Amino acid sequence: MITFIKKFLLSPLITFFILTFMIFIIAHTMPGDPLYSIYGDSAKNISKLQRETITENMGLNKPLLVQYKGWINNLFKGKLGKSFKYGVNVINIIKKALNNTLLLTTIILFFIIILSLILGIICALNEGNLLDYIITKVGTFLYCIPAFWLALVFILIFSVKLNVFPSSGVYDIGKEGNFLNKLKHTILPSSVIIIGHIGYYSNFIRNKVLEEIKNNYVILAKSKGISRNEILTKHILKNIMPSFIILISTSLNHIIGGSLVVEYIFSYPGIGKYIFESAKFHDYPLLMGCIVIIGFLVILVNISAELVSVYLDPRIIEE
Amino acid sequence: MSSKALFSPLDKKNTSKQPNIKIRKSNENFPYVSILFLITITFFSFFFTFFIKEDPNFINLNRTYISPNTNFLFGTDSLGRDIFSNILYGGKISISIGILSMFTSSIIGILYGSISGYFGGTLDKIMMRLIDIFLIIPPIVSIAFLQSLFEKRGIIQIVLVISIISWMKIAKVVRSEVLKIKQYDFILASKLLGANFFHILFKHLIPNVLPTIIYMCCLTVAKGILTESTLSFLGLGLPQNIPSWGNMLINAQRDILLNKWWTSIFPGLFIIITVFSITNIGEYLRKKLSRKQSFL
Repeated sequence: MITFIKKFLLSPLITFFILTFMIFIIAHTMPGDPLYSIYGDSAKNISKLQRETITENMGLNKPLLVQYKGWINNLFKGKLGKSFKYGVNVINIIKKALNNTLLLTTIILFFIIILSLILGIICALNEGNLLDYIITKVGTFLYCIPAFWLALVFILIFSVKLNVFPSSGVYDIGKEGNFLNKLKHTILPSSVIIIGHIGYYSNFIRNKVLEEIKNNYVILAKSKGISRNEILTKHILKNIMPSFIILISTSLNHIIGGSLVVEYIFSYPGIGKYIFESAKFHDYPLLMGCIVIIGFLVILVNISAELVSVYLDPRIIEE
Repeated sequence: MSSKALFSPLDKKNTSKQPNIKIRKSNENFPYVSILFLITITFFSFFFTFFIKEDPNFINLNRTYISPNTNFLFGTDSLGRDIFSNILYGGKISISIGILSMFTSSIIGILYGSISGYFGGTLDKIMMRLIDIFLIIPPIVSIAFLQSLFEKRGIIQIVLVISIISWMKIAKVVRSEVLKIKQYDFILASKLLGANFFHILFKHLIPNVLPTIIYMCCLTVAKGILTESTLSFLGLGLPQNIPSWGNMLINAQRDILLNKWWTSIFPGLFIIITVFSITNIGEYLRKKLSRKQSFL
């Protein structure tokens, strides 16, 4: 029980605090004007006297640890400050954007898991064949394509030339509540990420299946007369799943990072669009808020992935 | 053991069923094409640019958006710049960024990993935990965050930021290698002779670790090129007057929507083929080196 609490409550909490601390420290100790992070480009026009009063009022002359305490207190109260590009509370922007990002990421994860399982098993069953060779090589090749370029090519083919899928936004005007319309807008962005990442995961599944197939329990199951499909789904897949889930959760940052870039290109109003926009326009309250939210989400997914894999294979927690 | 012996005939049958010797051989073939392409592109972008008289930033509004023809092999962009010569100029910058960031990040990674693995204990635990925390934030987001903190952005800044983000995986691999190596007797002997950490690091650890991280280094070069292009495309990369493959794609989205496909397709293809070649070479080296190790 103690290891359980330590693993799933204490260490994620510590991780979250260290993460926020690092973000805070990096943002506050970088060379440059600290007022720049609050007033943006207009910080150059502030006079010396104004500067001193502002520094005093904002508490920027206090030690960093005290400042961090204030910031983290506000964070838990949900006060992340005002975005100076949009003039709205950061929390309100993030709330709206998070829905879209979550929808997109869920679709991407779902298809990556399903397709890489199918492709990986196909490769493993045809080990050494031409089919296996082609799938593996094409997978590596697709992994080398920059996501933003593939997104552009997709826009060129499907939006400009064929005019099948929309090139931007979350819904067509006047169809805000229509879920199918929303799904149609996620097809292009999500397929870019799925195509880019599928090779990596299917290769992992392929190697894992090849490892498992040589185990003795497979021979035992076969000698008992269990069919090939049943051995695959009931025994081999069950043994692979925990490590696959852990792999997905640890490489989730790459999937999310890719989908953030793609969101920006398709001007899909998710977190990614705001992150890169605010990085461009030095909108630090919004930028830091978005990064903290993403960090929180990734930690949450990591915990749940570990919980699921412990449920599937209780031996893990004993290690 | 006993169960294995029991099923050994079956096992043999299983292994003999796997043909694939042919494909495997072709799989591990020397990557001639990749190396040839890489040498050509680096040679041309580093030396051929001396012979091109045209300034890559030369703006000629009389010839905007000319589609590919014999005069302009890859066409011209929205400001009338020749895309072919710009690709050569851009290759120089992009490949240098990849290689420079590889060097800096592998230096950081080797140092961090060997300190963590060599000293072990609580220090090792804390250092590895820190890496896990660094890895939570998507790399491209951390890079954008760090880039946004710089007011002036140049090649040095971008190399610095890319290497700050990409040393962690190298450090992890180095650590696990060092954990293995430090148990050998020659380390003990060297310690008994009074060698300090830096002597052991440079004389014993680094030479033994290098073969394993060559693959990672190749990947870092490829990742560096990709990251540079993504950053420049997002408007967070190099200043506009430095021609790089990423900077050529900065207006790509507008051009694509205007159906001027050549301005973005050709630079992108060069990025992909370069990155793919580097990855191929890395993968070949990994297979080659890991096989050698098992025969030792």
